[in-house]
Amino acid sequence: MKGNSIYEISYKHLKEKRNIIFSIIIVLLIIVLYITSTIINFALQYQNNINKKSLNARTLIVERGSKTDEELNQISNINHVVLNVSDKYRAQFPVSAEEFDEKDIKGNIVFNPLLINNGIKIINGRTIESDYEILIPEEFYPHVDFNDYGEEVIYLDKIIKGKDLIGKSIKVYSEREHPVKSINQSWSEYDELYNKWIETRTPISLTIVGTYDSSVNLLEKNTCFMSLKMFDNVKSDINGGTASCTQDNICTEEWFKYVDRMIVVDEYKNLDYVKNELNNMNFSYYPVLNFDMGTFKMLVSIPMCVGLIISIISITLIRNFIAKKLYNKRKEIGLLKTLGFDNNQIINIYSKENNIILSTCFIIGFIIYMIIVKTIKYYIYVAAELEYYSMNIEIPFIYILLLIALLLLLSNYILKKKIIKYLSYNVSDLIGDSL
Amino acid sequence: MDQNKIGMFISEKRKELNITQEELAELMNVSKNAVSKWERGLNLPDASLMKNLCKILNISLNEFFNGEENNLELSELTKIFEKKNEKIIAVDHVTYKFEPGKLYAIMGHSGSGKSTLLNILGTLDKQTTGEYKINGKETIKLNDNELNYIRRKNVGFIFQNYLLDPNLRSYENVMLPMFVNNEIKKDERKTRALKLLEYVNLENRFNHYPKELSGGEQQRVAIARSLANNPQLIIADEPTGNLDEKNEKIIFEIFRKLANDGKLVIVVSHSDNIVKYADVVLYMKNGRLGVYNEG
Ligand SMILES: Nc1ncnc2c1ncn2[C@@H]1O[C@H](COP(=O)(O)OP(=O)(O)O)[C@@H](O)[C@H]1O
Ligand SMILES: [Mg+2]
Repeated sequence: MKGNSIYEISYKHLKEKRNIIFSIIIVLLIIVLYITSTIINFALQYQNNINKKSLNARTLIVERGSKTDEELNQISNINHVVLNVSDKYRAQFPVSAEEFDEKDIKGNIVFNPLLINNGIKIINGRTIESDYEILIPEEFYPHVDFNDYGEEVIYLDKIIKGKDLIGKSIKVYSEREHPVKSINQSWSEYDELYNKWIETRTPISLTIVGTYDSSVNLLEKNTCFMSLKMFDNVKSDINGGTASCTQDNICTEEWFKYVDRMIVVDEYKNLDYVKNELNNMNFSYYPVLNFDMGTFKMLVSIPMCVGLIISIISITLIRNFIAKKLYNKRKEIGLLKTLGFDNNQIINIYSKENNIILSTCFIIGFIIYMIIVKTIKYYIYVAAELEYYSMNIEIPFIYILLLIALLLLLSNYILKKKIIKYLSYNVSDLIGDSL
Repeated sequence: MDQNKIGMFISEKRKELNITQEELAELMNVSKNAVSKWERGLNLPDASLMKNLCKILNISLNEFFNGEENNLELSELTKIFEKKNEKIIAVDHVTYKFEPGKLYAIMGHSGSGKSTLLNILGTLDKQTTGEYKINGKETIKLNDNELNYIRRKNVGFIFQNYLLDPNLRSYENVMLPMFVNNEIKKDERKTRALKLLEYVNLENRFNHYPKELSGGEQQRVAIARSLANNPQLIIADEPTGNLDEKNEKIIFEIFRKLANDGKLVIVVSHSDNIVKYADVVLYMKNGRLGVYNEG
């Protein structure tokens, strides 16, 4: 101790055993509060997406089975059905966009057809009006890259402002003329054919006319939108194929086209009605997003309740802990008064100690939280059958700061109130054993 | 008081006695130059010369350093505690004057009002009626800040249970009161604490924590702490209540030394041994203060 400032006394007090217990309680509280807020944040975000924005939650795939096109068209007559199209439009059209090639990472974007009610929120520019126009995300990342664990990674410094690209165009090539390797063809024959196609194909130039908010849509930051017609034009009708050979080495091949239907309902709440009608009409269908709001609510509410209860317990513990600590320190407080420390100096010594402990706990708690949240994130995504990395659920850092500020204020308030109470006592009562 | 003021004070007192610098130098057996240096505040007389100087100038050591008579005056001091309609007269019309440089022992049965009186003397409590003056100032008229200031600068407390901070080493405990005294320079605080520990013969224990010290040693650290801001008044409430006779003797000897050095020391003790060390033995009974033995 050098004797420069009364806070040296606070630092010396830090090593008391009871502070360790106190720290553990605080760290636990902080973690619980973080996680609770994370879950609440997630729930709000998610519900918002499901109810208002997400097309997938309102989309059903109706299997063709033995139904005819005419029968399938009947589905449009069901109330609340706003779209009844080939399930081809659920497919994506990936493009290796040379425009965005960089030294170490290739350009790569994906096109979706702009269906009605996509829930797209235009941020800059306008929506598509002709077939040669496209939309890109406002935060545009025209690449795809994965880390060693197969998680998608985004290099933040490579995110482009979509706004800056309005008016520019992107070249795409139709998949339709894309040669398909037939079973009797050798690979070299096919390669030749393919290369010839590459040379002779004609590019289609698409102009960027607007950007949309990709954060509300659970979409990747490289997902762009084109018109339905253009999508139909560039996307191959072939969905896949199989080949089978007999023992005599006679092989046959079979190509599948998109035959099912994609049904979009106007609002999530009407989904059950439409499902019911489809059942009545003897269609077999499956939802695009296997999402059960009841399970989801339970999934969210359990941690929320646990978090709330633990928070209340912890805050009570903090209160009692400070009270007990100061009761044990009443003689120390009395002593400082006899030594001529004024009330503010005494309060400062103890609140400094308290603040140091809380700040340290905050940092430790934050580190532990970051570890836990990765796990929780996984748990939520897997349970809700969401794509793993498609949504950001970490609470904003500013909320974390607010939380710790609140905690500091609260405990300092308790501390100050208690010390003032003791300082109002007769010093001899504090120092003696009469309290 | 700083060196300048002490110089002026010496010069004043010399002139009052109508002696010249040369005559004083002769009486003191020092050079005239030395006396001139003292009076101009350039130098202080050695400790060995100080006593002689006080004798010649007819002042007390305490006056020498503080420029004024430093004493505590009680008149008709009464403290009444009220508890559930019951009135306890803890201190009952006490009139007395404590003088510096003396060791006072206060004896008496438990509950006779000794602690209450000490608390009032140390400004930790206020009397119900009557007057208490420190150096001529009425304490009842002082506000919290002024009382804090008095406790900081003028009073050193010593308690039966030592009240050392267990997280601080001996010298750090001694430094504690200096944190609120800007008159002691920051870089001098540790050195001063070590010197005070030397005063109570604990220089080799300076780096120990209280739990590593015996009760007697802890009380000596507490005494060193009470001296941190060089107070004139030392108040000790049953300082040896938890100690054996051997340690008690060491503590009492320190109090004697403090009184010899000009401090006003008031010790409440149940031990008869204090009588051997005290200048004045007082006793309390039912809140009344009496003189048992003086001089
Ligand atoms: N804070 C208090 N409130 C009420 N009564 C008190 C208080 N402090 C002391 N007393 C009473 O005053 C009397 C004197 O107490 P005290 O000064 O502690 O005596 P001593 O120190 O001589 O043992 C006792 O009767 C005690 O009960
Ligand atoms: Mg007592």
